[in-house]
Amino acid sequence: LDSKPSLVEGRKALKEIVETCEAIERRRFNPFFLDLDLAVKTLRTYYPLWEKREDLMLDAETVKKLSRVLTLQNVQLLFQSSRMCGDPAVIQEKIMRAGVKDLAQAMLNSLHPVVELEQLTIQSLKKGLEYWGSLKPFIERIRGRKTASGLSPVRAELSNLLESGVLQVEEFTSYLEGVLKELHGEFGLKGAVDYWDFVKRGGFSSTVDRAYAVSFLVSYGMVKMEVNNRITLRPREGPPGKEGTVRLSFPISLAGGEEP
Amino acid sequence: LTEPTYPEKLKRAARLLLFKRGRKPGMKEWELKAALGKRYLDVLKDLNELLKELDLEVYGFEEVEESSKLEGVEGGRRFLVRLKGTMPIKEAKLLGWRIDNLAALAFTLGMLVSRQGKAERVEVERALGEKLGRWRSMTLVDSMIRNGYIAEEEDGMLCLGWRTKAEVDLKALMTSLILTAPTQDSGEQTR
Repeated sequence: LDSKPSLVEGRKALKEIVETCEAIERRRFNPFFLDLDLAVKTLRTYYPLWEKREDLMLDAETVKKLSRVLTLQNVQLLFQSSRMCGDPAVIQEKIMRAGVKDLAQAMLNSLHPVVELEQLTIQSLKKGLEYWGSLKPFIERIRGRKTASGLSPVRAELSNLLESGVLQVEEFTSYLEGVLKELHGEFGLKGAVDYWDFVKRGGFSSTVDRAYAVSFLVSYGMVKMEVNNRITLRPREGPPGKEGTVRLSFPISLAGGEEP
Repeated sequence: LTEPTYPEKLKRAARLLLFKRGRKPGMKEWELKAALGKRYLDVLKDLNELLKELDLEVYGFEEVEESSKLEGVEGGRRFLVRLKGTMPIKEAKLLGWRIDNLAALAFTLGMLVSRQGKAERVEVERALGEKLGRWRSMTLVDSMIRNGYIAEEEDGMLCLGWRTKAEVDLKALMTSLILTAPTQDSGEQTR
């Protein structure tokens, strides 16, 4: 028989291996249930056929699963070579047939209970008393605190969501494009643009939005930031090459809305 | 501030290890180092000598498995005080566990150890349920998880919990289980 391996057969074989490996991982089968040599041979047989991304991913997943099974086989050998026991199936059979008293005795023979004390001390009582003395009455403590009582749920309109920032008028990428276009326009008119002149427009909220957008544009390499006596921005035609560039973070505080 | 004397450190170590303050008993190694100074291991060794007289011991164990450490889970040893010897079956009531619950715990731990430390919860419950009934087995597994003898992972697998690592000599348990002869009643069941 000189039947050539087919894609369909290969996918089926690999899926079967993955399913078996998963069953072993969930301790349904003994790790030695799977013949690893055969599984690896199967992988090698079908590997030259894989061209699609999904098939290559299936192949990689199978290799990963097989490595987990190999680890479990190793653990099983270590376990069996230790004094703990022989075959897990034999032990399970044994404990299934053992009586309640024998099992309890076996547990007690190996149990060293932890000693814990729960006890009040004079010091803890004193601390508690001090706290109690300084604790204001409940009514006084909640006075002035905003509570939800009396407020019923209200319907949020589109304007509320826009105002609170849950929804945005435009997508972030198009917002970035708008900011970049604006920077290109100003650069064309007067050359390097002052960072603070460019960012501080509108209220504080708008400044934060613009600073956020500029930080993205600089990170993407669409804008070059120069930090000398003042911070200037220059738009680039395209992202810079990797050669000769050093990436670093440059924190700019907007806390007070003041220039540094 | 003056450095506490050695006997004071010894007393402090006893207080720190014996009195319960969090969910888990005992203290982490770094906490003990901060409280007792660089020679904390010497202090613990001497405390252990004192506790021997009462059949107690200072015991340290690794809380996190090596495999979990590789996945970035923070490790570290925890120290606590535990009974050095074991309890006779007549005193088992002191543990707060009924005999049949202790048997179920032995069964569960035996099953987990024989499967390299993990088993599916449904399978453990099914096996326990054969002798105890379905509902009892479910509540018992919950109780074992609550007490820290076993832990449940996200995918429904059960594994050994921190209290098992602290209290149970697994080699001794497995040896006892292997040497346990099948009982007459179980023999009758198989007939």
